[in-house]
Amino acid sequence: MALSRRAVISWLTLLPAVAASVIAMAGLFGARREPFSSAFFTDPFFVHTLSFSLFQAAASCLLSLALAVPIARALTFHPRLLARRWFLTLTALAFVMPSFVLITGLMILFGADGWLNFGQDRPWSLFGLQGILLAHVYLNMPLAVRVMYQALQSIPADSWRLARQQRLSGWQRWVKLEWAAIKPHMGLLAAFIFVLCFNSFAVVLTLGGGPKSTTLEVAIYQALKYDFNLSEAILLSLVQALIAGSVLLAAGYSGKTSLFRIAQRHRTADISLSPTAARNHAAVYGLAWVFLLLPIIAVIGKALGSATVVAIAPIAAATAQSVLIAGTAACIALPLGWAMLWPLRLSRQRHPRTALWAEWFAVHHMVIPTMVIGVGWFAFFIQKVDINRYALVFLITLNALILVPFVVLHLKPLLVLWDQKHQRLLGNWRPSPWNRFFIEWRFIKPTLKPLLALLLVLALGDVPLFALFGQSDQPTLTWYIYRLAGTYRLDSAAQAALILLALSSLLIFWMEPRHARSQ
Amino acid sequence: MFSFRHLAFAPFLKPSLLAACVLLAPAAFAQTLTVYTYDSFVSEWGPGPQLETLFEAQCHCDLDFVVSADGIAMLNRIRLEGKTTKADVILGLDNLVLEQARREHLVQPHGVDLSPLSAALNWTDADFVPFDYGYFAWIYDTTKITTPATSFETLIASKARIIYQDPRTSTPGFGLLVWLNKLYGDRTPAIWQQLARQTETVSQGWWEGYSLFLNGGADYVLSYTTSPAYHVLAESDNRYAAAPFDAGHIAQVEVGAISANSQNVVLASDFLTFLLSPEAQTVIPTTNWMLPVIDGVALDAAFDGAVPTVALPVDTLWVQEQKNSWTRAWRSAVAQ
Amino acid sequence: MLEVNDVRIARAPLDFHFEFSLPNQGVLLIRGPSGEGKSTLLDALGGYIPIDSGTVTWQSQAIGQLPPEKRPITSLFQSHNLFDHLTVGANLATALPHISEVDRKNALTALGVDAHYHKYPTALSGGQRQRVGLIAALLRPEPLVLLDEPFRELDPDTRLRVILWTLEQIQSLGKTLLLVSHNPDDDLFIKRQVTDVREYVVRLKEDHSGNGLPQSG
Repeated sequence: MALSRRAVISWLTLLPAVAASVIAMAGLFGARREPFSSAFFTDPFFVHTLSFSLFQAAASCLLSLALAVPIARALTFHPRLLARRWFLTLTALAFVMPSFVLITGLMILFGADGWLNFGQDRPWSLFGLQGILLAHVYLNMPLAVRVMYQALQSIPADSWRLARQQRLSGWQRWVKLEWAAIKPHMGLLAAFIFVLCFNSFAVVLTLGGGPKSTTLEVAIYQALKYDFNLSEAILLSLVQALIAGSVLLAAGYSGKTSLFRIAQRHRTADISLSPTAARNHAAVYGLAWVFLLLPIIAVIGKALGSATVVAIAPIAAATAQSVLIAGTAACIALPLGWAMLWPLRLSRQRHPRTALWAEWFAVHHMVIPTMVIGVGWFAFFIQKVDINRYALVFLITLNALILVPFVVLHLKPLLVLWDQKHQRLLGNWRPSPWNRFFIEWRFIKPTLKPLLALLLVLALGDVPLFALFGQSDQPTLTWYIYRLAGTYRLDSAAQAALILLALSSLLIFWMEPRHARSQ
Repeated sequence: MFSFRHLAFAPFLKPSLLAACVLLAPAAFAQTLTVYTYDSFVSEWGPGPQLETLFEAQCHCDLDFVVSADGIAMLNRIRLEGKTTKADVILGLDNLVLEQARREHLVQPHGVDLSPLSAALNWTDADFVPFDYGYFAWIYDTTKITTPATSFETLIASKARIIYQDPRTSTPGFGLLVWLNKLYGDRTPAIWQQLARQTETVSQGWWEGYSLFLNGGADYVLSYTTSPAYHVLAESDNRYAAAPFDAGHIAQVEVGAISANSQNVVLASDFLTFLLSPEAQTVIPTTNWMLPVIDGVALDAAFDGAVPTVALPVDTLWVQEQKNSWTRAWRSAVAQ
Repeated sequence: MLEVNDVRIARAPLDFHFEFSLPNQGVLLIRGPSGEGKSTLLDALGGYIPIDSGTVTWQSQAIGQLPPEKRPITSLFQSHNLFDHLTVGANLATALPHISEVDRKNALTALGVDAHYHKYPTALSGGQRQRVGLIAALLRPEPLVLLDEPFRELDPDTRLRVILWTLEQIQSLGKTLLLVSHNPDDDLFIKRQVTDVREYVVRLKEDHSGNGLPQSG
């Protein structure tokens, strides 16, 4: 196969992502002192860690998906649910909730004085596998609800009517209509949630409750930081990337799912709903509200209930710093991710295998722990440039790179569909490259607002990169919260966390389709 | 006492005085002392800002903090920088990790007169100068527990819920590891297993565990004997106390050292000497919430219980040699 | 002269075989039962699916292996002939940058869709969209035009008007036209208007479906 000039240029767009990983690896390899040792892999603790990582990720993923089904169905079938649009906004917020805020909320709820404390004999503790699962379900079930709801919404009204006419039973309708609509999205959705849980860090570290419940990601952190055993960290992250990468790649085949979009308008499915069924749907819906809202209310209660009030000036400065870094990173990640889809799109039809590689390079930062990239860069640049002087450049660049996979995941299904539909028209009309870019830009523009909000909120939560590159006199909001908490100022930390939560909520509210249009 | 300190300073002050008076261009020629330290040390509530003002007033130099997230991150940074490090002073390692820095030749002898140090510290290290310290202890709420544990045995017998930090990722957690091995030697894994039964959680860092405890998540949390003083002085809350153990406590001693690559050895040594001065030591207790390393610093009564009756000495080399096997023993004891 | 020589395309389980020629400015009506390869032929000529063997030449130049945008061909497909997120005006500006806005508007007027200049295609009826797509295809500079059932969704009155306009453009611009049609009335009408109309009936060469045996050769 002779590569056209266009194909060669298109592959160059992947250069930033690949170069970033090469730099990180060069940094780690250059700084490592211990030889690689395979003995580590036969260590029973490694085997335990690996199997626990896989188990908790699979369990979190299955639970999230299973619990999402009844909620998505309730949203679709019940004709009069109070504040349906607000609920969808809440699901978006829950998905991007900074883990610090969620963990604080859960700890308040399940603490000894918490509302959900079950008495002295403690039959249930927040710490351990159950705590990890709870937090992971909180973070990921809402995403599954959104995707499933979206899928159910895409079933044409005629199909529902047809099902009615053919007197399909509830089960038959589930198999023939509902599951058939959800199924094509399950692959990517399950893979995505699995990878998020597999790579989960703060939740496992805080709620795991000890070395019994530890994951590869935590082991990588310990090897990188506390043992300073970079060889071990490299090997561990290789294992991690291989597993998470193959899961994501396997799902890439069926990737026609937009993970982060939601329809403008709600249509209630036209089915006959018995009063019992309606009651059940309403109950599921109500429980989902309570589940998603409780940790948020707990954080608000804690923050407002405290006698001291956190100083506003440093919080405002930290917020500005956060917005500067997250905003710039998101604005860089967007065109970068868009461009990185180019080689995939060029090769998708004729060379699916090549396209798979192109996709892998575009999203591979999702499976490499942020800390590995961060420490690798730190090790690479520390002797070459004044890291403190260019702290902002490093923070923005690395945050942008971390966000690119989310841009790719968002835009890929849109643009693949676009190509299928319009590739021939473009071949026909032959617009200039600039014109082509402009037409495509007009096409993706309306979908970018939700994406941008998602990227911003994700970047706001960054801790590992700031810990490496940040300037202590210009902390981000998240870092400032950790600093407050680390110096006994726990009430102030809760208040600052509330501000982070409010900022995230504002962004999410802004990204969701207009509320006025509901009903 | 003050005059004595002043004498110790005099020889080191000369070069900078010369620069200031003779060359009449202090801004252009003032030396810069680069101090590597950890984040909370220089935060708006930490001792950093006050110490900087105090020291710059007497050295006529520019004190430049380069900040890492915590002590370990700082150590890693210096390791990665190797010969290119700009550090003159490395501030914020402690007695539990300092042997790593020494073994990797990251520091050089400080030449500081250690005689002002409190005798209780029994400190004679040629490379590291202590600037504050605190004892690890179990903190409890006096409104809930009237007869606190006096030993690990009574703690276990009480079946009280405890929270401690991961020895692999947290200084107090590591302190507990050393503490138990110091007291129980080969019997430590059995103690770990017994503690595991009443452990609410092993938290990653100090504050996660501590905040959980404050929210009522456990009866005891592992922290410092100085922790109750924070609640008294900053929050006027005297509910919390450290449980004194009869067998004794071990201390975390935070130290400063001169970087092996420093070109500013004299000024660096000046700074470490300054840290032992009464004015610097007065700043530390209520900013870093640790104890002063010299005698005679006026302390609020809130710190009264902070010095235990029995202080167990820690052999830093022994810690360095044993820590991996201790950690593995802990891991397998509690992961069962 | 367009020459299609012994072109074979295997689209499992079907095998297609095409062979015909058409002089410059000629009109070719392509007929045949549905599902037997008319659209496949147009896609192959347009360059959207590869041909397995045989040659396609235009003015003695081989064009069978060129990418779509390098071929002297414009196509009007059965659907997706406009960008849904661009207005009719913006669509035509994209398709026809070489002619003036006045000319584009005139073409819309000629086909009775000038009132929709600022609307999005989704707000138009199927027939209206088809007319806008037809304008874009016919007024492109490429000499060969492939139209896949372009009059299908038009009502009888509009239909004649659009066919007449189409033939007018073909003649005045000197185009060579390949047209897939299902409507015998249309075919008859075209034959009456144009003297040299050829016909090409597409039939399946072989059907391997369900045979399951390995193919020889």
